[in-house]
Amino acid sequence: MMLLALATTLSMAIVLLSHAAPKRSVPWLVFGIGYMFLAASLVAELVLAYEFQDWAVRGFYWARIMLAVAWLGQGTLLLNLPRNKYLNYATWGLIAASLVSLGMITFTPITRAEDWFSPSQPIYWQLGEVLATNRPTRWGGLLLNFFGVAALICGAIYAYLVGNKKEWRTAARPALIVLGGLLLIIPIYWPPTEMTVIFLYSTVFAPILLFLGVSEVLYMDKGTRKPGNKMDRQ
Amino acid sequence: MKSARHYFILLILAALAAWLRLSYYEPFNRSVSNYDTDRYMISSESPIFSLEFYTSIRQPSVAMAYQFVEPQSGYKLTNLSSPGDDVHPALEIQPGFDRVTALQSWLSIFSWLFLAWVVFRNIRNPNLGFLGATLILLFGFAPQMAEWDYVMLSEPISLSLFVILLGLSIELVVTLLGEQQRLSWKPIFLAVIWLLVAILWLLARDTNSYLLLPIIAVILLLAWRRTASRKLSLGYLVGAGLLLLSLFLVAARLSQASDRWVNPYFNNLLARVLPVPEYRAYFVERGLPVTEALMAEVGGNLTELSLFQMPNLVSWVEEEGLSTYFGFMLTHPGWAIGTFSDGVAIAFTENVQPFFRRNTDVTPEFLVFLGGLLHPKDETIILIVALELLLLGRLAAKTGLPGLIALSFLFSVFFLGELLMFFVSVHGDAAGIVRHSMGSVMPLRLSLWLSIPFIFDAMEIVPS
Repeated sequence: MMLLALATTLSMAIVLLSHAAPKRSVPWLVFGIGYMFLAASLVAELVLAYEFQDWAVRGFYWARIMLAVAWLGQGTLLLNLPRNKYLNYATWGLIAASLVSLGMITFTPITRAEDWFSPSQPIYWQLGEVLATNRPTRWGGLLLNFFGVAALICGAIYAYLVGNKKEWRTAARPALIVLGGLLLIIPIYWPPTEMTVIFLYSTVFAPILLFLGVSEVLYMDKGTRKPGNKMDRQ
Repeated sequence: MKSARHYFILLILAALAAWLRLSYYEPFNRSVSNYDTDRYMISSESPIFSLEFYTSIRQPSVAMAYQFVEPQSGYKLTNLSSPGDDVHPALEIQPGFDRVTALQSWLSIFSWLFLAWVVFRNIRNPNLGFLGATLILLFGFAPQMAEWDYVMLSEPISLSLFVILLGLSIELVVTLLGEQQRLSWKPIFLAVIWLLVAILWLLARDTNSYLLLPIIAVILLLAWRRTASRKLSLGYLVGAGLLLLSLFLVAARLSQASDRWVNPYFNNLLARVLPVPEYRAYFVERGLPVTEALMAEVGGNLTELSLFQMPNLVSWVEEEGLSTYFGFMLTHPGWAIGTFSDGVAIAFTENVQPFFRRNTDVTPEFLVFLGGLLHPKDETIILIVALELLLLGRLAAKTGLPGLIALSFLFSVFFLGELLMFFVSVHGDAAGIVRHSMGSVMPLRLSLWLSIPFIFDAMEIVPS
């Protein structure tokens, strides 16, 4: 399941960044970077499911615990309000916070709990024991996640208010965003003790729900692209 | 849009994958045999252009390979494995069999590189193409797949031919879309190669022919609905459908004439029919000669060759056995589906070959771990694959892109065919379900990863 989650998350990141690149779209870029952080954290999680590695623990904490939700939240806000200058300042603030947090986590020591680290248990449950995070690191992560969740919820509410509520898909998108966000945040603060089926499936579906919430995929019209005679393989 | 630079990167990926395959596994001069291996040796002694060759005790394509690469000094079976008796030797050099290992390994390497290239070509987004190619190469060169190349049975050749067939099918379907009523040389050439590979694959394992049934059904449906015949002549469609149907019937007839199915039938009697009085009564009513000696074998080891010493039983099985078993399945559909369901659960319990001890000095544990993720042991992936195909179909319908619609159709048809093969494999033999079902389980596991890049390639995101 985790590898499936990685493959789908990475695919979504590629689609988002490919969409952002030609248009130089900052909202899609920010959202895509959020997915890259998710994908990176899944790589770390997979490595840790095999054996303990310092860099994987630190990388997981940085990418998943501190940054992924914040970047996804910021991306959601930007998608709804792309020209808001305060949000643009917030983007710069997020970049600065990401770099600072990278520095902080790099110097966070690994504890002796490394000796009894169990790859068969989720890293979420063991993270507090193996990583000796100081208060600024923990509060920084909490603040970033709070910002991320708030941004996701506000972005979802805004999308619902301005959207066509009569069209059920448009009305459902905000719910998908909120649900996806919740599935991302829950394991951080209510860490699972085992690799349960629910936990594994939520790892797969959280990014998918968010992706469906922000994309127009659900109601793309036939004929949006000009049908060709064959796959225009290039 | 893919440029030369993208293909260069793909070449590097392919080279890295090939290096992984060549570096982290044992040399190609090593192998391990099983009790069936000597039967392939015997089968390979018949002339290729004789009926005896195609109705022998083992599958023709594998015997053909053995005959093709046999050295002057012949084969010497010196390293026997018996998983049922917990005998798992290390790989050793078996005189003559080094050539078989080399053939199986190079065929496998070629097949996975070919499929990766085909998938990359047919995905628009280059980065998704790289992801798809990487997943396929890791899947194919993981220990769970690659180690089979050292086993002297039919699975390695059959699986490699399937992978090539899948790649050719993708290319053929996409190429045909660009054609008008009269075909150019390219699709004809592809179709001929497809046919040759399909024939070899059909003759590699008896259950393989069941993949053709949904393909035939779709082709004939398209011909009937005149949907594709706006592009292709109706004659081509009907001709293709009839040709594939003929292949299926010939393969089925050769399999039946070979008596390869008799021992598995005995296993089904011992494990599934005779222990249950109600089922036993059904077969007895239709002439099954139940004796004390036969009943004494119930509950013992399967693959019990002593049943061949019961002439009445053997003649009944050969004359009435298949029709009786088929009739039993039709009149007991719940049992048929329940047995299949139990078989699915068993088939997914393993993902590594059981025949030899891995050399952990050569193959790192992390590769085994990664392979375990790529070859999941959870049968619910069948549902996930079905969902993926539904999503791909929906996206294809929404985009209206003929290429995507065709590929979605192709993957769905293959999925149905794999399930049918799976059903026949489980019901074909109560013993060795894991190995016998591998021809279906591997493609299902592959479909889990294959669909993902195509799904996301189909998505268009319109800015809010």
